[in-house]
Amino acid sequence: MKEIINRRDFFKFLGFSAATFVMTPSLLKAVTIPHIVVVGGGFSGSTCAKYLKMWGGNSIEVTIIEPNSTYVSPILSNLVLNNKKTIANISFNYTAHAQKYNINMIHKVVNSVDKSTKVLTLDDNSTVSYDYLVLAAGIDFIPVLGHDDYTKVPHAWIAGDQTTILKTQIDSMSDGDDFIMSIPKSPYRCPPGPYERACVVADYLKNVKGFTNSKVTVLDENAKIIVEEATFGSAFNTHGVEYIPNATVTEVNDTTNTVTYNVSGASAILKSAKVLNIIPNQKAAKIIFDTGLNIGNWASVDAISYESTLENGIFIIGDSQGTSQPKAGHIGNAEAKVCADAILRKINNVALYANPKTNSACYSPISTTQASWLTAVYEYDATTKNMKAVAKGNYPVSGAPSSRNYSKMFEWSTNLFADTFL
Amino acid sequence: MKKINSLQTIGLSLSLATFIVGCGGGGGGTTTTSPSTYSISGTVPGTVIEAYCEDGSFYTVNSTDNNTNKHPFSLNIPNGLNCKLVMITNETASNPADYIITPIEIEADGQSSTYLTIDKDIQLGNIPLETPGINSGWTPGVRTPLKVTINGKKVHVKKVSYDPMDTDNDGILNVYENDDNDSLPNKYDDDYDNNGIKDVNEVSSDKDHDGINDNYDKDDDNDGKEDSKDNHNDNPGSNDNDNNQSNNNNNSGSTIILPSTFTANTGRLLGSQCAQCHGTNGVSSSGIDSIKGEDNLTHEIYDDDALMNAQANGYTSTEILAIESWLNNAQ
Repeated sequence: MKEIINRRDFFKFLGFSAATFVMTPSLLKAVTIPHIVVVGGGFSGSTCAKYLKMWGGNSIEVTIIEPNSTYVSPILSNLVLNNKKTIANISFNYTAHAQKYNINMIHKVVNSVDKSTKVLTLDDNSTVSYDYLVLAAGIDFIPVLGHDDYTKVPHAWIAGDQTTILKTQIDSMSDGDDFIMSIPKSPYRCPPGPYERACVVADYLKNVKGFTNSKVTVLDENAKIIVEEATFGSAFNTHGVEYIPNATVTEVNDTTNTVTYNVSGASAILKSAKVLNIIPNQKAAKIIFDTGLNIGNWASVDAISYESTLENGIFIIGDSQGTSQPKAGHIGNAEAKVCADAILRKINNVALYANPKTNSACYSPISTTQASWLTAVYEYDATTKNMKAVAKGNYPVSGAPSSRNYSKMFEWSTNLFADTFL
Repeated sequence: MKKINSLQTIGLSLSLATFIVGCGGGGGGTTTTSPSTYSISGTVPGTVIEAYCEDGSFYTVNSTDNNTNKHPFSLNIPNGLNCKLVMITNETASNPADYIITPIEIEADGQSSTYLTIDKDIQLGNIPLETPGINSGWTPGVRTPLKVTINGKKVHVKKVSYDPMDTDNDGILNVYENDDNDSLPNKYDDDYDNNGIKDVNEVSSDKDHDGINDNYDKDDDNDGKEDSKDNHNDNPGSNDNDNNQSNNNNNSGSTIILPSTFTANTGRLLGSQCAQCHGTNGVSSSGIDSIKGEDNLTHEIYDDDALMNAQANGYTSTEILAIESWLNNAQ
């Protein structure tokens, strides 16, 4: 509509401007500043936009398109369940992005990407054109039969309302009520996260609520605890968590609160509990599939820049990308900086840095007072175009639970949050 | 979206460059500290001069009637901020539909854009805006941009492929578009989309229609007062930027100076991987030590902290020296 009106107005004034030499439509072709659009304002997208502007400054224009004006961090969100943190404590806005780094903020949903014209169409039918596109849209779920109402059987694997729903359900439990959670098949967002949650919930029920008759059961689709096996295995024993490996969830009934699963393909077993916390298997965000950038469940990228191997000019960072790196906020932040540097080098015709490194680090609370940690450094492998753990580091390296690590956890998260959002 | 293209194909315009002369240097003395604002001045027929800036702030001034056709004006805008100028003649008309509204396009040293950034006082000279007292046969309405040429690196202009304040990129700001095609541009229209609901009663994230979300708009009702100082904000439901969120995790008071160009830096790229734990540019906000200015990283990286030691093992001595060099020289 706008366009029609403008055209009419323009012709209306055309004769006038010709007669008086006043109106001068732009004839001069100026160099247009490249526009980089980042879709998604989580750890990787927010970091990428910030570092693009911090390093590229006024030579580029950056826009974040993110539906929500407040971001709730999944990191530390298990501590909402045991009252150590509130949702507000782990919520962030984009004021620094807009006002400190001069990033355009659009709080809308991207409906479609036209790769040939480089135009995004948003949910209000407005359009945004880009020169470079960064997709940092996180994960999507692959729910099992019957798991279609996450308000009844929460996953709480995207923080915010889901966290609050699970928290409310846990707080409705009485002594003797059971809690069943599932762990998706790897790869999924935040490898230690589900094990951490099982520990936090079991500790909360036993040591904060004082329940002696409630049981926490973990249905893990993986063959064993995939990270920090000694730490979490020991904590499961201490907290009395029932751990069932090779357990594939096949169906959820949210009326009877029953989960159906099998162990290594054996016959189906049904279990009911007061609270079910089923975390579905995961794949790249919907926009990756809609844009045809996936190979299998994840986006195929060259980790030297995170540019899609299927489409030049589109970069995928964070949980949607399909390298062998873990999917989590800290390393999403790490990937974002490599990506930002690579985009700026491409714009400026500078050779890409040949040996980018990233790192992962994560502190995991296992009770109201103790936390463990896990870390690794990754290097670029030019042959596979993937990242691999640096051999001499013997990664991953982990640290046993302690109260010192519990306080270090907040020193880490404070700087990680600030590096991403401030 | 690409409306500007159709304007460019029409070759009848005459650049205003031919009659703008003498862009004096203004009052830019040799002060050592940068003022927060600089002035744009010049002469116009009777005019309201407006500046819309990328942080949502809005500035306006009336020219001073000196009984000639060249009224002087001076408008202060923030140092280093991208702003757009609009000039309104026939501004005393009782109905805004009778205004003549002219966006200003600046051509500077071969670049041309409606975005203007100044870091010194600038003089635009005389701007011969269309005005009823001078031009016969005038019609009211919103004009295509009038080009003003300023050469000699006095101003910076920025041409963008996506412009939040002019989303169809036709040179006319969103506030002066006429979305419902009535007699009034959006700015003066109390129901800009003609849906029967007054704008003040609509649920909107951009009440002043300037293209900047109210969460980040320093003046979200474009009344010329920053929201934090606006005692009678006439924009119901608007957010005051000082406390517009339910959390206090974003206390980002500090400002930074963004670079004008990109320079590749290996030490910075590698060292940015330290920031997740040690803070952006090595400046920590927590009990973890700051590493900015570190001049002996080869020794210090092997810390008594087990996690730091595990990280240190992932880097070569050459990489550690590159990071140290950057940390030691980072601004």
